[in-house]
Amino acid sequence: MIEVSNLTKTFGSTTVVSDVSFTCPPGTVTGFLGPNGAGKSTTMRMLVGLSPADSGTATVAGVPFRRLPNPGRVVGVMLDASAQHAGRTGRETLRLGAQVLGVPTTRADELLELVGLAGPASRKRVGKYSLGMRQRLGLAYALLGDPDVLVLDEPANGLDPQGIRWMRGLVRQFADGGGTVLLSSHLLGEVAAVADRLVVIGGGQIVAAGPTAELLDGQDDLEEYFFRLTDPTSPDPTSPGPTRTEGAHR
Amino acid sequence: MSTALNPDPAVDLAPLEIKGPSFGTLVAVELRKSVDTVTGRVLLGVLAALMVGALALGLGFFPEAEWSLTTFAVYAALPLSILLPVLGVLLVSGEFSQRTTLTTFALVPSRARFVLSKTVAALVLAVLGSVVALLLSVAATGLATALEPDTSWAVEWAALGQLLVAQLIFVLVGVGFGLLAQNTPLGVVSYLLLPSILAPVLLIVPSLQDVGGWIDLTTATGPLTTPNTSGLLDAGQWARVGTTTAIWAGIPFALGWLRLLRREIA
Repeated sequence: MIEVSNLTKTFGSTTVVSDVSFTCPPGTVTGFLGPNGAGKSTTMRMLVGLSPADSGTATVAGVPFRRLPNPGRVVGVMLDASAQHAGRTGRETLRLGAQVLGVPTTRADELLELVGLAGPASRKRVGKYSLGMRQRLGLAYALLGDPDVLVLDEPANGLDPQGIRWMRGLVRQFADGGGTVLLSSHLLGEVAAVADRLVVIGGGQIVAAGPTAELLDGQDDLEEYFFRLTDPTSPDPTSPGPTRTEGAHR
Repeated sequence: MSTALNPDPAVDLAPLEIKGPSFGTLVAVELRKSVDTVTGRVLLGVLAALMVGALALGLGFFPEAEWSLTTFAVYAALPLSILLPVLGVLLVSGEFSQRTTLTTFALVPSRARFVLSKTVAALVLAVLGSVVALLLSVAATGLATALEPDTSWAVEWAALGQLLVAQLIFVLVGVGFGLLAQNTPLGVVSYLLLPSILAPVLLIVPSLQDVGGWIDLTTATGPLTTPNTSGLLDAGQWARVGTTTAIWAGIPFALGWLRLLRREIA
């Protein structure tokens, strides 16, 4: 369970996230959608305690992230697949994580197997990995502590179509087992296929939120709908949307 | 596949009941990080090679009358005192330059535990480095005895202890600079340049000449690394060591910690 209430963040005079609230229930995949710069990553960073919020709260499993004694065992986080030490091997990266989390070293090998990085790939330095391989390693790192919640920022970035399908299968399975998933994307098509619920953010505000089927019901052109929703210059961004939030009326 | 996703749901604990890593585990992890990357291994390899080289120079060029276990220990400590601060900078700033803070803080959110475990790991590295330097010095003394039977095996504990204190100070200065710079090139360069910019200023500006010994780290710690005949430093010398350590390690450390508490991790 993820609960975000009234998160607000300003950098100087720019408000990057404004009064953002949403909930991700267990057993579901929530797609966090918006164009680049809409505030997705900032919201996710506030959720996992990497960026202090000006106001508002965010909890995972009912607890603010930074108050969790061992957060990696509750929520797996991947905010940037490239944020791993280039001089460390994939296997060593996971083993280090396992040591911090207090899970057996064998867990690292299991996950290398799961994400398709076992064998020679595991002994390569991360600096030699392709973006797709780093995404897989990042996903393995997030799953290392057997969490109930996953927070993934642009997990499909750099994956080939097969990899995207594999990743979707993985998060679907995770949610079907009772897990909670929040994953972001700037492409509607990428998440519509796997997300049960969508939270759409534009210009730092939530412009639409609700079950995917309801939100997209009757929209014959999904990309066009998405552009209308998230473009702040659009005259009436929400006219056809069935489920709106108050923040949408500006 | 499903086993890796949900290995054992039966032992699920409430989120607040799952214990985090102990401080000892975090220090062990930090030490492991210093040897499990290419950069780390190269740096430690270079350090070992330089220590052997310094001892070889001592054996090759210093008068046999000066050979002793203690002087060899002083030679071996020289490369250590040059590279330990760099190691200290890297230990902290590497996380920012490699952006691993994103994953480090996602597992251990406490900034205090991050800083303290790194600091303790750096001190442990300084002790381990000093032990290796001493062992190499013992080997060098053995070799020297074979060449010159009168070589002194006398262990001057005061001198060795003061050498260790100096190494601990140097590595702390490195940690302070790494924490303040939060960027590897900036941290290393400013550590190397600032003292050498300051030294001539302290010499040239008349009003600073008297206080130079209280500000310049190299001058103040000199007596620690070049053992004198009387053994221990006097109170005035210790006071200078204390103030320069506060200036070069304490201030960057405190400012760096503040900076860490305020910064965005991205």
